[in-house]
Amino acid sequence: MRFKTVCTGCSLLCDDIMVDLEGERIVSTFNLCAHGEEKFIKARGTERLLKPFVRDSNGVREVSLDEAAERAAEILLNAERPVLWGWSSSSIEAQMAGIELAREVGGIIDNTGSICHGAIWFAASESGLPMATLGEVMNRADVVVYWGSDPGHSHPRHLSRYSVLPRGIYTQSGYEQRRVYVFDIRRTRVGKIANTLIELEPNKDYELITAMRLLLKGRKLRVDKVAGVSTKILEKVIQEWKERDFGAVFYGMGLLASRGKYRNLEALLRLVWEMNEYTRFVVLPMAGHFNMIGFNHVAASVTSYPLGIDFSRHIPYSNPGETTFAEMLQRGEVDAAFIIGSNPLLNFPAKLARKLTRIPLVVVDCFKTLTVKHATVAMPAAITGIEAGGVAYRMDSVPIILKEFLNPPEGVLSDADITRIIVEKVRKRKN
Amino acid sequence: MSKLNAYQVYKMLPGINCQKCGEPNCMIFAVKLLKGEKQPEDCPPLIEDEKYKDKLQQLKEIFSPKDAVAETGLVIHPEKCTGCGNCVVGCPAIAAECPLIGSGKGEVRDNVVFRVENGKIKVVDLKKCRRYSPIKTCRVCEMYCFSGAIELRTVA
Ligand code: SF4
Ligand code: SF4
Ligand code: SF4
Repeated sequence: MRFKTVCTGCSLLCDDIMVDLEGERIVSTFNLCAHGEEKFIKARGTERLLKPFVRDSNGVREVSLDEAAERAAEILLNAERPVLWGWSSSSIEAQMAGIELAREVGGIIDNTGSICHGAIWFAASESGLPMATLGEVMNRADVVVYWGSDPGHSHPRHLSRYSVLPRGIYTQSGYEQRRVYVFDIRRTRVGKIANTLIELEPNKDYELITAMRLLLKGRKLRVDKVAGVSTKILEKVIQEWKERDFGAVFYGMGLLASRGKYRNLEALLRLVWEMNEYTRFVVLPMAGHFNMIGFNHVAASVTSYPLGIDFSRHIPYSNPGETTFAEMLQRGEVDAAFIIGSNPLLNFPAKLARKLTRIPLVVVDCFKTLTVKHATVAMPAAITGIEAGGVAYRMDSVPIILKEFLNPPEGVLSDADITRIIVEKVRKRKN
Repeated sequence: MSKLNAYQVYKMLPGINCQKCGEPNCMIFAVKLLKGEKQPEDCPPLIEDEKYKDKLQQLKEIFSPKDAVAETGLVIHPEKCTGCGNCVVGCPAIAAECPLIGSGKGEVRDNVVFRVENGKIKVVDLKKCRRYSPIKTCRVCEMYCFSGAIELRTVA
């Protein structure tokens, strides 16, 4: 049977994936990139977490889901500052339930965006966010800029589905009509096919953007080189951009991780705004996890803050740096953590990871990750997008409906259901 | 198959510099093999002498003149392919055949040059490639393959 589905391998959420199914087995897939294919294969792999377990003084013991949820509720209620972390690989239904859970236990809910792409919301609140959907980029953009991001590794189908190669309504000639500019510190994969590759010195993004803004305003620079790039090239780039119809800038972690952090992005947003005096320019994040942007939208609509929301005062409160997970962990403030769809023990710096192993961890995950191995309570979840449905937000904030096409392993529920069960348990305990 | 260098190929040749193939020495023959200008069968000692049988077999496996290579020069290195679909969407022949694929939306068709299957590129109907026409200049798929999985060798 041939089935059309959505891939959740990255935040591009390609919705044209064809899967040939034979009962419960995936025979072949079409249009799926290697990244997504890996995810589909892993779904039936041996690394799946299948049974809930609890760890106590007698060691690890397999328990029923009910008992595990009971224990999780106990841990979260007994903690002073429990943090609910992850949420970037869950459907928005699970995220809604998660916010409910944080409210019930008076904890902090934060998503993985707070250590990477969440910066867009801080930058946007200072300089505004000129955005467009990817469909608009596909139909109109004749300038495509990749700044510190390499879709060749992170979002393989980005160029072929939306930005460079497809032929849209006003871009009938496809790649011939578009010019690709890549700003990066080295020659990346996408750099190989760029019309203009600008290799800047590391940590000089802010400097370069500021110089470009000056050139855009018609000022002359008194130096020949900015951030290792010749001023003449920059003048040419700015001139070319001005003459074009529509530009789309895609920035990635290369911009956000270099010195200046979200200030780099703020500068980039201002440059894009100023470009709008001459032509249309938009900026889009190359978010990683498939529903990272979704959490920020859900949280903002429910609590009015995009991330790092503290419910300990019974009203939502957020102050990035004060109520975000990594910083709280560093200060030793966290005394219990609920981790869903994330593997902080592997991804965090060793110093933080060590602190994490000393506190009780409630982990909800589909796979036996390192974090699951250190969990006090672990609960298996169905893979969203393959075994569980829901809604996720694409990188351009367009909601996409995910469909399930395989049955989850026996007794395994979706992360939305698991979170709701824990909420119920917490409510019961409180009364 | 990772990319071979001429020396590796040279080691699979007899290495006696007999010049029967019409080249000054075996190394040059190896280079021409790599470029696709020569075939393993063009080396007479390899064919005639029994003791080179293993070497010939080895070379044939690597340079087996698949129709693809012979006709359009298309060589695919599947281990490098990321399934990005740049080649599929960029290909002017596919876009002319099926505008929907040309506008970035995946479809499963059997009358296109290639499609992405199981996360890798797969040749479906090479006859559709524009390199069959007398002009033979199209290189779009190679140009936009950022992982270097597509190679268009010069065909004699
Ligand atoms: S680009 Fe991302 S969403 Fe699209 S198929 Fe690849 S992994 Fe899946
Ligand atoms: S050479 Fe041109 S026509 Fe042939 S497959 Fe590549 S892009 Fe298509
Ligand atoms: S462009 Fe290259 S990497 Fe992408 S699908 Fe085609 S062969 Fe594979």
